Amino acid sequence: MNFHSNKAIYIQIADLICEKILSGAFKEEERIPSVRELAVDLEVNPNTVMRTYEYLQDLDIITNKRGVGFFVNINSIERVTAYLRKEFMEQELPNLFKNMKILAININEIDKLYQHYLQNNINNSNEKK
Amino acid sequence: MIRFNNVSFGYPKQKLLYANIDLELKAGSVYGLLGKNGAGKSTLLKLMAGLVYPTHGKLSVFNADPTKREPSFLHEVFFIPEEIDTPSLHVLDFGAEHMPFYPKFNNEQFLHYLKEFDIPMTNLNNMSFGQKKKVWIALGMASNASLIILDEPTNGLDIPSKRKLRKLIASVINENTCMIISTHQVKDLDSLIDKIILVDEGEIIVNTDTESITEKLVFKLSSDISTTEQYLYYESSLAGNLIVKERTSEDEATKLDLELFFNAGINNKNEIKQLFN
Amino acid sequence: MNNEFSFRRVQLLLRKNFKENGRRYLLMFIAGFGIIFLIYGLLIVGSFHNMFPSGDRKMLFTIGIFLGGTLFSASFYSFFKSQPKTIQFILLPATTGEKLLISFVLTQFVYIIVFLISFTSIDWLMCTIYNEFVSIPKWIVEQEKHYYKAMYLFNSNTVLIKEILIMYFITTSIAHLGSLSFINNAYVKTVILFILTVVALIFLNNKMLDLMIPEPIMPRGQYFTVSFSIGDKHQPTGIVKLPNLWFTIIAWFLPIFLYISCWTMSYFKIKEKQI
Repeated sequence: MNFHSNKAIYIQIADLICEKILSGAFKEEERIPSVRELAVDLEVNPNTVMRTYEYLQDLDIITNKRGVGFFVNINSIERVTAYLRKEFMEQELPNLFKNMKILAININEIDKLYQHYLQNNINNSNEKK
Repeated sequence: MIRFNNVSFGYPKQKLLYANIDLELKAGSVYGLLGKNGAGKSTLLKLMAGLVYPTHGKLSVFNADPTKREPSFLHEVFFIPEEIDTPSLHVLDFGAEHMPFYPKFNNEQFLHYLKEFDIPMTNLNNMSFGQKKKVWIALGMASNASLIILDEPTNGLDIPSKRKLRKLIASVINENTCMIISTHQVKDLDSLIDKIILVDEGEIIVNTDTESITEKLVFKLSSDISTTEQYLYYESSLAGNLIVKERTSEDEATKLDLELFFNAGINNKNEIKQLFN
Repeated sequence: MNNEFSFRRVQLLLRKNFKENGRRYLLMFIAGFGIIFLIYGLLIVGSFHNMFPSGDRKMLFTIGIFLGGTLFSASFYSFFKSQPKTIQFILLPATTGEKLLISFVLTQFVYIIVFLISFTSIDWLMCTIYNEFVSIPKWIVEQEKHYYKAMYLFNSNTVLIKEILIMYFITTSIAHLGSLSFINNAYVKTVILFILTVVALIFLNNKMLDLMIPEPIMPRGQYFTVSFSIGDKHQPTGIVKLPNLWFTIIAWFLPIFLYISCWTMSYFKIKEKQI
């Protein structure tokens, strides 16, 4: 895994697990890889993964069942969404605003493009069905 | 696990390389030993393994004196030097001749690591430098020694092998082992290192864990440098300014940039030292 | 595993040593064997109508045992040139005594035994061949014919085997110590140092005795002074002889002392080896 340089690695791993939960790769109430497995897979120090898991436990997204492993909590999708929303609002949005200001982009332009994007996405998913 | 107590060291007829250093290393971590060429990284590693003796002071490694070279100490230590030299032996014989000396040696692990590293089952003489080095690394890891010292382990390794090495290190480290890696290629192993020892001109500038570095410092790329802020160190280029500064309550934690941290430590020794001691 | 001396570890070290250096030992053996064989062949060819010379064979034996033995001992730790190999040697989990025992066994027993066995067998073989094929000139009278029969070297009582063995043990111990002390050109340096030491000893011995005993010394011409004369140089009033026991003690004490010090120093050289 390539870690980009602005966020602490353990946060980046947490993001990765959250994305996996949202995409359904890790399902609720199912076991996720052990600390060692994930560390070997991502080529990071097991202590870092341990820190990620502690962080996710604090966010109530996963639980440690002693002797069995780490499991995704029930209703974790809501919490994951909330967590990622908060991250987006606090970190990515300010960056976006900053660039909008520099490039003098009006919020209405963005809104128009966003509506267009949503339209397309709905069409696409309809076609697939 | 390892404790330097007021240790001084110098080679004969030369001035002291280290004067009165105190240092403690704990089990369960991967230590990254950083320093410029000739800063004495290898010497520090050799002191720990009992290959050189302190001129003054006391050094203990798992409560033993490394200079006594007792077998019970030696089979807990595995030192993989930067340059390697192997006898003309079949790789399996090479393993078999070392195995009985290490009570915790695991032959299955050895074979598994050799396979992971793509080592051909042949005489060591027919192998390239990188392959021989990988055989050594496999042997060291399979010895299950409590202290594994790697001097520039990624030197001579090809790209896939570096990846394999990272996976290998992640799989063997546990709360009873201590791994010390001296390296210039910080990017090769920086996601594995969780403790940093920075040495320069015979002194230990930093001995801390990466967590507390990212707690106390932020590393970022910034387009402008404001004059009001205090930087510990920065590097300017067209792409922007790479800066290291003390983290305030407003700053998010950033990823540790080892290269930048190293440069900050060398160039702004005193402030970095104060922050972490 | 404990930190006490362990025979099991010595066995393992020996096996490791033979596995790693076996090929080198074999080459050395073949080379040595070949040289002796070749020289014997030349001796036979050169003495088709002559007596089989025993002096040349004795010389070959002596050179082989000393030159070969000291070369072998002096090159034992030549791997100290390689830093990684030295690190591996130092950090191999065995006690210093066990590690030292390997070179002790190889230089003090294995080499000499292999040499004696191979030399004796070559000598025996070549004498037999000589006796089979070389014709004795017709004009030799019957009583003198036995001179033309090759005698096995070890049947002859002129080989000073006890003295040679003692000298072998001492010189190889010195060469072994030299191999631990010098990293490059251990053999040459040891030989030079050895010669210088012997010359210095002889010189100093005379000087010292001269200082201690202002009388003319060594009237009997022996290296170890066992007697000296008192009184005028030309007309001594008497000769004082040291007891014979002293001579024996000195003669035995010196080599044993030298031998033990060599191996004790070797032990500490390994124990204190830093890299």
